[in-house]
Amino acid sequence: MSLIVNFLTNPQAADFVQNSTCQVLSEGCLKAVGRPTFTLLDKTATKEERKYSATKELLYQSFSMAAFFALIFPIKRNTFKLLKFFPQLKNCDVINAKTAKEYQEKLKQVTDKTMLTKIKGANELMSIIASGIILAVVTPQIVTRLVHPIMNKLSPDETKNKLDKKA
Amino acid sequence: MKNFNNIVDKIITRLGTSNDSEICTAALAAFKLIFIPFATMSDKKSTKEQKNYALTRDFLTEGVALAGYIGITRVVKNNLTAPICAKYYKEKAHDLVKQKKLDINSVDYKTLTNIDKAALKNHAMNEFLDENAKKFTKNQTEHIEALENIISKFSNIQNPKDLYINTKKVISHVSVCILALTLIPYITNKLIYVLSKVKSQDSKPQKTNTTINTTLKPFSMAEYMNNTRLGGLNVFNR
Repeated sequence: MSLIVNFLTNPQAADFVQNSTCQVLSEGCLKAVGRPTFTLLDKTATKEERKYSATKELLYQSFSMAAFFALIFPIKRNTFKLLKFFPQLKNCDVINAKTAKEYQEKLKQVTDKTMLTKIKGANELMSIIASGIILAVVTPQIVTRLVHPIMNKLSPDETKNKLDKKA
Repeated sequence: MKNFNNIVDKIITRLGTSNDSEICTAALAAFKLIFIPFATMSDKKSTKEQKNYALTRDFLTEGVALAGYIGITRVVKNNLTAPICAKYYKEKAHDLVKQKKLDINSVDYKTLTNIDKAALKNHAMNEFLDENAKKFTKNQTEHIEALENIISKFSNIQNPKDLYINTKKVISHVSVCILALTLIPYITNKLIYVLSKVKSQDSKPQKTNTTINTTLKPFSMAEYMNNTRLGGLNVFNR
């Protein structure tokens, strides 16, 4: 069986790509390679503009992936505490869990398939919202403060020349 | 409030049943479309040109990403899943013939190698999304029943419904990855090129009004050497 068909039809691969953490991490790592490369290849902008945009993009993607990797797992472990805000899960005992261990035990006792689907979906929804806050709100603010010091360190001569010109 | 609860209910049911890659990545692209340009605007140390370029690029990239993840991924998975599933059954049939578990002239072999793609898609989607599912024709129902009969004889072949759903999930993710790595930045580059062309065309009439005053300067060897960075050789002072 050819490798590509084998990979595309693999049930384990399908399970793996269902996880939003895996989706964000794989997409983000590819973006960290693709976007700065294409920015540097763009000949419509000047060298300075391209350099700033590519450095910002590379920094943003790598920093956001690191931040995401560090924050998402502790967040995911605690999303069960927010399940009580979903009126759809009101009748489920899972929302009364106080610790992660208790939540796992109560989750095993749920037999209703629809309820299990909704619990899984609610967890994924919160994970997506948390990823959005980490990647789109927190990280860009930090990266915009880091981009200039890092650019200066990467090419100190050019910034010196700029300062000389300004003077 | 009831409508809001219904929407949330639909979202969590959809995410719980099949959390396809494009949902999460499109949601993140929408988040970034709003917040990243704000962060770029708040950068006070960059020049106006750098900021304008980065802002245009951020906005276009996330816009293209949002449209691409929703549009292109959907088209790709709707059109490629059934052919790949058919290819899977065809290759499985060849493997079984090689292992001498299946006769090449048998009806089972012919069924496995000639999959009705539309029937396969309908069969998988029927349980998945009831509203969108099309009704089966008699031939399609018979074809799927025959396929399920063959599969029950062998342990290592996936049933049509599971196969279709699994393949759809993986194709969706592969499509998102290809879009993220190459297509989205490539389309953004092309769009920026078009924008810059439009911008330069807008600024052209202003340029034609100005008269160009060209006067020939007398040739200076020293200036030429300086301009071509040969001044360092100090030719004239020897």
